[in-house]
Amino acid sequence: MLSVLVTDFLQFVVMSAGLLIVSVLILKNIGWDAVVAAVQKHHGEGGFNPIANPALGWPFIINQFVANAAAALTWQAVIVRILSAKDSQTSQRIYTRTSFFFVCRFLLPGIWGIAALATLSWMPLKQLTENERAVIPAAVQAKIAHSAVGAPLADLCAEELDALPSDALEKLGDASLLAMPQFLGTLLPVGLMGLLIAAMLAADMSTNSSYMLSWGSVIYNDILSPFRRTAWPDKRAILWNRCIVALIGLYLLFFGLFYHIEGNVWSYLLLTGSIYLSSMSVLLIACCYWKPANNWGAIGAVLLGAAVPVAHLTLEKLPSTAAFAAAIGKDIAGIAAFVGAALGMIVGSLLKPKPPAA
Amino acid sequence: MTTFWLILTTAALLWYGSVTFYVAIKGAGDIRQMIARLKNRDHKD
Repeated sequence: MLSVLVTDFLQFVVMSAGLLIVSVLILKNIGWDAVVAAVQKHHGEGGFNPIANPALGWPFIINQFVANAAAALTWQAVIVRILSAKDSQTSQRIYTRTSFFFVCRFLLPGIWGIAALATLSWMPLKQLTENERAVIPAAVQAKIAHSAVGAPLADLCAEELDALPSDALEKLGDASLLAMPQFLGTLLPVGLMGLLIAAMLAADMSTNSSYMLSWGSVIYNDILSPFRRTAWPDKRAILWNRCIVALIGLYLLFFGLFYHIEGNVWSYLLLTGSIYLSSMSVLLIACCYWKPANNWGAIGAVLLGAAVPVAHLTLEKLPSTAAFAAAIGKDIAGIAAFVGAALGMIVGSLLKPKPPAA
Repeated sequence: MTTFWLILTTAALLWYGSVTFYVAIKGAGDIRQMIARLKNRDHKD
């Protein structure tokens, strides 16, 4: 327990120091004006104001608000801290005093990305070797060169996309993902690069250990409970928990290596997260504040809350329905997951026959 | 709109810096105290 406490403390200090030093260094070397000019050049007013951005708009804002509020309420890695507080007043203080952290965690790495755009500009063709560029027709290269930031293939028609070699397609698709590491590699001196990597590893270890322990305890205590008619001895329980954590680690490894994410990574994470977040947040709120809530409603919320995101992710993967899924967008699908979960709770709860009065 | 982002970025840097400094100093003291308490308890046992 002591080692976990000390490790978590050191991870926080190293991670925060790395985040702060790199942010200050970026603003000092690149300058605020250059950061603003890069956003203005590539995104116009929509880069500063999501409502003015046709790719974002109100669906984006509502989805961010709903999904992040649900995450603060029900995400295991967050509530494990709340539930381990000594009383409800301490829990409330944890919420209020750490809330601005979310702004910092979203904003500062965003500044790094913009600084990368300001320094490297948007040149996706640079990701390709000369040989790879040589086989791409000049007209297609011109379309890729003049594409919007983060969407190098958006202006190409189906025939042009089919004609691109698969290696080139993959590299172009990752062009915006690689910009920030490339930029940091050129900006940071050797010692500071080590500190930043230590900070990122610290953040990664801290996050993954929280996830693995919280998921492991949920699987052992809730999902496996029907198979444990009598309490298992400690030795057996620890062995099972270790096996579950190892299996989760293997799953994360294979998912990270082999699953290809379509489009914006953050939107993807929010949509997959809403499979869980939509039903759990609706369940929590309904069970606390809505008297008619019952187990039929809970089942309805879990099923409908999961059905919408799973349906959207499946439609995205099927060639015949990919365009339809893209037209709906991940933000609308995310909002629909929460609406579906709420509907499932209301309809399910109202459908359950009331027990006869005694 | 850019003024809003400038104020928010400055606030984020100041707030994050203050919290990091506070947690680093206070946390190190707390951990030192806790280790001392655990040592004392071991001696008593």
